[in-house]
Amino acid sequence: MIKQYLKNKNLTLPKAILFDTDNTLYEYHPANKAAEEAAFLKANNLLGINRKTFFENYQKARLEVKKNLSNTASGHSRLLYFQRLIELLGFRAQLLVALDLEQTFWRTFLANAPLFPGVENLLSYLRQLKIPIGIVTDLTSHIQLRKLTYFGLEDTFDAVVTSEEIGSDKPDKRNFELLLSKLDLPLTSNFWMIGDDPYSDIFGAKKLGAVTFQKIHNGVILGKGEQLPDFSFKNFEDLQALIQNLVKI
Amino acid sequence: MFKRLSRKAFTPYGIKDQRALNSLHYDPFFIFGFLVRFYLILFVNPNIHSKWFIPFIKNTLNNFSFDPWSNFLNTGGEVFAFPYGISMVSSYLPLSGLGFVADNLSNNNYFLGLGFRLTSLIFDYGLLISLAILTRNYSNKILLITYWCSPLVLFLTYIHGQLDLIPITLLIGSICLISWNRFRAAALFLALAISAKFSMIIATPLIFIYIQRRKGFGIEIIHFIVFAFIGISLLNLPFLISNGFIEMVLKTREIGRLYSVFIPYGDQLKLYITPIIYLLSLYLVWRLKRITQDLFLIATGLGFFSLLIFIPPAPGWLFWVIPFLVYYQVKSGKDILIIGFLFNLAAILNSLIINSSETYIYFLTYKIGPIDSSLNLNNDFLKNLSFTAQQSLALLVAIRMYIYGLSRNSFYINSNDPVVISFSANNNSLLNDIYMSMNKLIGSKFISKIHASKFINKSNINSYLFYEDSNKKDLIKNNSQINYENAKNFSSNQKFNFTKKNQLSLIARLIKYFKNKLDKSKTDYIFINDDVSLMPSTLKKQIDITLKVFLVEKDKLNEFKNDYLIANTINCIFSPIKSISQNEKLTANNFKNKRFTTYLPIGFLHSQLIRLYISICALHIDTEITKNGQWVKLIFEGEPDQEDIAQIARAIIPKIDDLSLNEAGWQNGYIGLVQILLLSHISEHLQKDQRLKLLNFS
Ligand SMILES: [Mg+2]
Repeated sequence: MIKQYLKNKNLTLPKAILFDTDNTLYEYHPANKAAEEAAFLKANNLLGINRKTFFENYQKARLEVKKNLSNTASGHSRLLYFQRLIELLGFRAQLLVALDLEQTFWRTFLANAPLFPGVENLLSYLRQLKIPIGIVTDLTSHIQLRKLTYFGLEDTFDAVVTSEEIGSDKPDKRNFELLLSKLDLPLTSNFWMIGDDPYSDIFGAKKLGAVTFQKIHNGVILGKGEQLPDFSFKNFEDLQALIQNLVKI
Repeated sequence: MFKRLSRKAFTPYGIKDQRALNSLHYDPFFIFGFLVRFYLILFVNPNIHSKWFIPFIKNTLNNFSFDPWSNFLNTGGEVFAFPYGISMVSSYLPLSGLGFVADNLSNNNYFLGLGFRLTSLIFDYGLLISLAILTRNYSNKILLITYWCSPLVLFLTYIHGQLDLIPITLLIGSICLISWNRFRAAALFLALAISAKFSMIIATPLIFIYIQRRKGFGIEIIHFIVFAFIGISLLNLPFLISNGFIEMVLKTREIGRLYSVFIPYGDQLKLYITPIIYLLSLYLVWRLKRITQDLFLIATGLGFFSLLIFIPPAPGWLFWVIPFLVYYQVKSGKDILIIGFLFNLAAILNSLIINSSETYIYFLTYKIGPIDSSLNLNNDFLKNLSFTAQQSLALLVAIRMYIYGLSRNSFYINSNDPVVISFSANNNSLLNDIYMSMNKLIGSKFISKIHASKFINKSNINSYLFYEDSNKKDLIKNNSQINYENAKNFSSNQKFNFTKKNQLSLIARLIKYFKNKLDKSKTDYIFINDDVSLMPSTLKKQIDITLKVFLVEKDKLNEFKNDYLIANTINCIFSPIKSISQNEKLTANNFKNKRFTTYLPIGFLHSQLIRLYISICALHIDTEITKNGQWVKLIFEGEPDQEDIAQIARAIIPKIDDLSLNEAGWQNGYIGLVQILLLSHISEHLQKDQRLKLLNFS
């Protein structure tokens, strides 16, 4: 079911639809949890550290890296987290271990990140309608492109922007602007933004005048005030039905 | 502790499977089935509960004892009341106990029965989840329709009041655990099932065979046997000193049913039908050489159906076939739903008519059954007719299971022949590495290796090579067709005492020998160490998959003429990234700075492999399409981890579980890629419909 919060003049087919990736096309937290667990098991195996030490220091490392690189793509880099983690644990420059943990992390992450039902259908439907679709996502390009490849969406989108290209995470509007320019669309175009995060996705895109859709599922909280989306939905099937209705009009 | 246990228990699922399990609960059919159950346990008190089970449980709660059976008999209880062992008693005690307390507090007579029925509901749900796990790649909806909303399940458990659900749930749980390779836990579940209802023992040999077929006679089956033995002993032996246990559980009339159908042989002898049918079903499972979970469940279900057909009616036994029928229905989709539904109805009707005295049904206080007393149908002819209807539908299901589930299952058809793989390389140590890696992955027990050329040097081998004299003539005829030009390079580095003609006939004979004579043994895969392209055509037909490995100084794309790339051939080329200097030697074991090239037919495997390689390993891969447009050339760079390889394999080979591989056998680097390529071809080959193959090539 699609819920409407802000009364738009009237909803029409957009010139483009922008998608966030993490926790929008697939559920992020279970995958992240499984991946952290696998990284722990590996670290336990290679370095003999116990669960408590691992997760305490991992959190610490993560916060440090995020603090140093606030609101940038690299601030999400697992390689940096693991490198810092190993340093915090007092192992000196175990580069191979850091690389190994990173690889273990992402390998497990991918295996546990199935797309939400209806995503593939919706995307191919939009391609049929010849509505340009794009990705605007935080984190580094390499892993985001790996994810899209794993999903089999490597040649589905017309353009992809990662926050690495801009040097600053969403809601920095340059992310959205770059994507629109990659799609050859003026900044004033009627476009939709579909994402999970009330601050980065909804608030960010609203500033550019987008019609915003928040994907709601486990643990996602509806934005309030400035971050209130125009619409929220739980299933991509419902979103597709909405677009199908717009096509009929 | 609990968290760690549950994590361990749940590792077999990924998030995807967990999500599918979760979504089961939101299905309208689940909610419907749940509401019906909820209504039934609140308002329907099965007659056999109040007549037999509840008095037994109540007595046990009133005077707690470790020998509830003798205790019950001593207070004048009925000997038929509770023919079940300790795990059944302890399953039902906790919730019934709570109900008992609630009854005492509220001066009521309701909650004990409710607690008892609630226990059934918990096991019922457990069976649904176990079946969902076993059928996880198929439709949840059909599972919910055929099990959760099955009138027969609802009738037997909640209206008739049978308890067979409990041992069956434990048995299916045990099978789930086997499919996750948790053999000790599986053995304990089996022991619990047997202790709940002793006749579960007849499933034990089937499970032994299943494990033996999957794992050979290894540590797994020993673990299983030891744990099952310990479990069964602990759960049963202590009670053998109990007179009540012997009278109520061991001397149950259930066992007598096995001998009640027979053919009289003259005046003195009887031929018991049920043991014969049982032995036949054992043989049926025994015959499955390369067994999959599918084949095992269908063959076992078929066995139980045949038993059901040849034992006198007993509603409890009906429950035996239900999970297997459900499994088969879920697997084969919609077309058997109607027959399954009719079987449900016939079985209900039959239980109502035949076991009339035990099946009063109360809705609130209204007494509905039995049918014969209310409609005055106490007529032998009608009874027989209804029984015949049930049995003929059971027979029909059994026949369908045999024809469509078993004999037309391509895995079953193909499992009779070992897969013959010819493998050749221009470097022996590389070849050996690859062979050893396959050995580790598949298990050396299941592989026979023929080093064809070496065989020929051993003259004593002839004695069994010529075992099959009847084929001799054929072979001589075949030999005349050998193209000697092709065979020219065949023995370049071998010392032969035989002529070329003899060599080829010997290899052909060897393959025939292995194919025909080793069928009944455990050889699943034959590796022939020779180059198939140099073999005569009669021989080529015997080869299922060809693997060629080249260690070359530079990628020789141009040398790969199209005709060189025949179907079912896996070409693996190892070459250094930079051209090497003359003194430098190319060694097989060092894959650093090497690249790996392979060719795949367009449309087979490549796009998935590329995607997974790039996304999982984060490594580079180059692709080109060959000039004739039929092949994709893949050039891999970088060295994937062993775990990466295992994950790619799981994603790329859909029925990988059926191959019973040893997870630790995956290799890192390019050897791992060769393993994936070979296993994908093997899996493809085993699922290929042989009838189509005949159509194409005959
Ligand atoms: Mg997001």
